[in-house]
Amino acid sequence: MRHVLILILMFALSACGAQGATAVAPTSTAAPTTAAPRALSTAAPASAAVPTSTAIAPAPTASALSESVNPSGEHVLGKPDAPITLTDYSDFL
Amino acid sequence: MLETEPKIVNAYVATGRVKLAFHHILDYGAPSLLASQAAECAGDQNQFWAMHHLLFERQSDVWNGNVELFTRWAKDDLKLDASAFATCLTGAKYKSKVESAYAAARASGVRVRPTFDVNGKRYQGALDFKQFKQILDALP
Repeated sequence: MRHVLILILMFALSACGAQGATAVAPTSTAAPTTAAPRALSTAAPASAAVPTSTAIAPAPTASALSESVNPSGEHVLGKPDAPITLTDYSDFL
Repeated sequence: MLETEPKIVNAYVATGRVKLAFHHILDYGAPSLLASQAAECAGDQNQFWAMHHLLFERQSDVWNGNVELFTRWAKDDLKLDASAFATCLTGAKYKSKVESAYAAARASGVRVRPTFDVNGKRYQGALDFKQFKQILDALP
C-alpha cells in the first residue's frame, strides 16, 4: 500500500513539474532585438519595376468590343450595325 | 456616366443591341480641349475608349492636365507609343476636329451636360442605369 502511495505521489509530482516546465512566460511587449528568421523586407526588390502610376483597365467587356469612327467623326463602341445608337454629348471634366 | 456606362456596355453594347458614340463638349475651355484631344490622339492607336475611361476616372487630375501628364498616362497605363501620342497632342492634330464637334453640338441645341441622343431622341442631363434601361428596352 505504501508503495502504491509513493507511486501515486511520484506521478503527482511529475505532473506538477511538467506543468511548471511548460508554463508560459509572460509575453514580452518589447520588440525582439534579433531579426526573426523570416522577417519581411519593406524595401522593394531592386529588380522589381516600380509603377509610376496606377494602371486602370477599362471595363472588361469594353476592351473586347468593336471600336470605330462614324461618318460624323464620333468614336463608336460596339457593333456598327447595332439597332440603337446612344450618343453621349459630354466633357471629360 | 462613369458608373452607368459600364452597366450600359455590359447589358446593351456587349449584346450588340446598342452602339455608344461619344461627342465632345468643351464646357471648361482649355482643359476640356486638351483632354478631348488626348482621347482623340489615343484613338490614333486604337485606344480612344481606354483613354476616355482613364480621363473620367481621373477627372480631378484632368483639370490641371498637360501634355506631359497625358503622355505619361498614354505610355504607362495604355502602353501607347509615347512619342507618337505626344507629337499628336503638341501638334494639336485634333484641335479643330474637337472644336468643330463642340460647335456642331451647340448648333444642334445641346446646352446641358451631359446630353444624350438615343436614336435621335434627345435627353438632357444625367440619367441613371434604370432610366437608360427604361428608354432602351422600350425601343424595337
